[in-house]
Amino acid sequence: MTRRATRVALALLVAAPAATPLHAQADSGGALPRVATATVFARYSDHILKIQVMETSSNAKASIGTGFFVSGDGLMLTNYHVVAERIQEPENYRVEVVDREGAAHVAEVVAVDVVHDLAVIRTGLASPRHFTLGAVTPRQGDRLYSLGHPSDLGLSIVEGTYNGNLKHTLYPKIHFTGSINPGMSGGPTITESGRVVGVNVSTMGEQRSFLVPEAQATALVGRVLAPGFTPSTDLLEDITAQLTAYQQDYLGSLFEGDATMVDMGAFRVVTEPAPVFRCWGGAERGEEMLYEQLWQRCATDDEVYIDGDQSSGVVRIVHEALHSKGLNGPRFSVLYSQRFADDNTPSGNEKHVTRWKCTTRNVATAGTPMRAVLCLRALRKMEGLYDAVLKVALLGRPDDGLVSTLTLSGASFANIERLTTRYLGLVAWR
Amino acid sequence: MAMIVEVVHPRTGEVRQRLRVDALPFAIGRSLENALILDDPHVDARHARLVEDEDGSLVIEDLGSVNKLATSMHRDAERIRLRSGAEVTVGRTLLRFRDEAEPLPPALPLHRGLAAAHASPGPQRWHERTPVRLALIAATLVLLGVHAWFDNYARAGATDALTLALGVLLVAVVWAGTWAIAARAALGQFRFVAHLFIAMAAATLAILFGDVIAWGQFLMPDNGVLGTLSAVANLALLSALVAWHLANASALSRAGRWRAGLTVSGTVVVLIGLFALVEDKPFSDVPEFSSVIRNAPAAIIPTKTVPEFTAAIVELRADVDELRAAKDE
Repeated sequence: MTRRATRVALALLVAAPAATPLHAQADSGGALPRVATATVFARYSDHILKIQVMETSSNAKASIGTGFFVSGDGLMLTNYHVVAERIQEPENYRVEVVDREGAAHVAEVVAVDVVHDLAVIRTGLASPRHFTLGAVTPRQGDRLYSLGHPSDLGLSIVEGTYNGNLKHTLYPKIHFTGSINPGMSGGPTITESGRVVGVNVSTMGEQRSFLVPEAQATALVGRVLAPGFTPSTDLLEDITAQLTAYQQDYLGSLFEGDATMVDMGAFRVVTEPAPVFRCWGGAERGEEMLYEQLWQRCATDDEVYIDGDQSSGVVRIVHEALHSKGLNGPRFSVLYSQRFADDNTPSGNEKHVTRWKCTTRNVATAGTPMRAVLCLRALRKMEGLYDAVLKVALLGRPDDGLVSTLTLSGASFANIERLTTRYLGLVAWR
Repeated sequence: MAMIVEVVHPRTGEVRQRLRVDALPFAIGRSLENALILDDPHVDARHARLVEDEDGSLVIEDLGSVNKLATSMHRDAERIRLRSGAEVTVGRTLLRFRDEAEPLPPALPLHRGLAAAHASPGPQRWHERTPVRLALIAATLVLLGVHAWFDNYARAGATDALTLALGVLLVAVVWAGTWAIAARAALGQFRFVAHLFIAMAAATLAILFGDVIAWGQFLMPDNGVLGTLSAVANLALLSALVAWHLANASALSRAGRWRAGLTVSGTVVVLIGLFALVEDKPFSDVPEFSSVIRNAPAAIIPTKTVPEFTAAIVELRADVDELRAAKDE
């Protein structure tokens, strides 16, 4: 019912077993006099409505989310991912807002910020009671209230605490300690005086929730409210332009200058190419194994949601070092071939991407021979953006092997070309 | 061109008598004045005769007999034109007419034919001797086992290798057994060891050839010919396999055996082509690439420069853009 309505930060979930809780929970019960939560709810609940995306053939809800009024003439703010289906397949979906009496009204998406996961919709309803966006500076530990429609159960209010911006992210995200659940996406998180601190966007579960900061929301709403604004005729084109600019922002300087190199088994490999990357590693040395395997994975936490299982803005580096402990040359090369063949490419849907096409060469850089494969696929709806996977295996030693993979999603070809060339020089024998 | 008339036993098909039709008219009947005398009480004294009609074709004419003439199509016929292979019943006697120039299959060689079972065997070449063949079968088994051991990296590699070699042997035994039974039916000879040897030799060749191709793909990943070469070689091996089995299971000539082998390969190609045509290739988000890595010293691996690799990537982009454009239509 609400599978799209709340995003789960997958990269973080994968890393979770080794990760400790991000912060200790701030103790926010305290000396300050507090307004009752019920009062907050009573004051602001009429600013917020349920949004449902209807599949036009079945005339039934495909997903639900939450939105809130940001102007007197019916403009609402929500998440891009709440209304993504409408933008990706306008012929099959429509957006409706459900008023407090339960009546549905068709709404139109007028502007999006795909990178920060925001969208502005025009409802045609009069909204004298609305939030006014503007700078707000809570302190860590401040009590905040998140509102929305969890699992279509009706408008609810959730208390939680402000824990500042996440570190290690390409774009700012607020860490909110409170239970945001599927369906609350697009709802506001506010102070007790009704100032919007952020827009509910995703959760890792167990009260680890994330908000799009007010500044990004203000910028988008400001653009729509500015005199002379005309709604975009092609939102997909806007999204393409936003993603193109965004990838240039973070890929344009990646691997430039001196890279941080680290020793791993018999190899020297690139690690933590930028502060936004987080690396995890490990080793496998079983009694039964005739080889030893070391691995290191570095990835950014930020994925830009596009639709379904399609996301953009992923940069991932994986190194896998193999060392023989009793395998002869031919047997080791069988192991090496198999590890090289292992698929760790991002999944994809035919609606959004083409098939992969790959090219393979044995390449030498600075005297190191390596097998290099580049696989490429185009994003169908976003001209000029591609997913790419570069796989490299160092050659020439009977007992040691390294499979190194660089994965880029939603990147321009120029960046793919440049990063490929650069990356080939960033793996070598010690 | 003269015709031969055969008197055939109606149930067993055995030919009791053959006569050349030298002169026309050629009389057929029960009395002793006929050219072909039939000892059949249902045949008239002067029953029928062979004559030439106006076109010069041979016909059999009834001479007003009680039971007339019959073919598989007509009873009570009075005049039947005769082609080679025609069968005519006179009374209760079946006559078959055959052109003397009718082509014949070549003679069966003595050491392979039915006669071999009763005659003394001809001289055998060294590789046709059973002990030699058994030794070669054992050698191919060992080779398969060693190959399987080199082809995995588990600690229990030797057990796996043995299992695989025995598995291949089992399949080869069933395959060779089928051919041997066919040979028994066609030639009266079982020749199981010969067929088993052929099966094992073909399996070994296929595996060794696969290795050569894998090395080729490792050293020259951008060589597009290897795939075609591999397909052609496998089809050639299949043709050879069938031809080789037929040499031990039929009396076909060498050309005939290869024709049969190539027909089998051709059928395989057509079937694969048909499947490819019918099968709707589903979308896949898993890339396909040549992942084979071999244990080779750096010095012998031909390599490209980074700019050459980048140039290949630019070509790749054109391919991907084409895919994108094709779907947009």
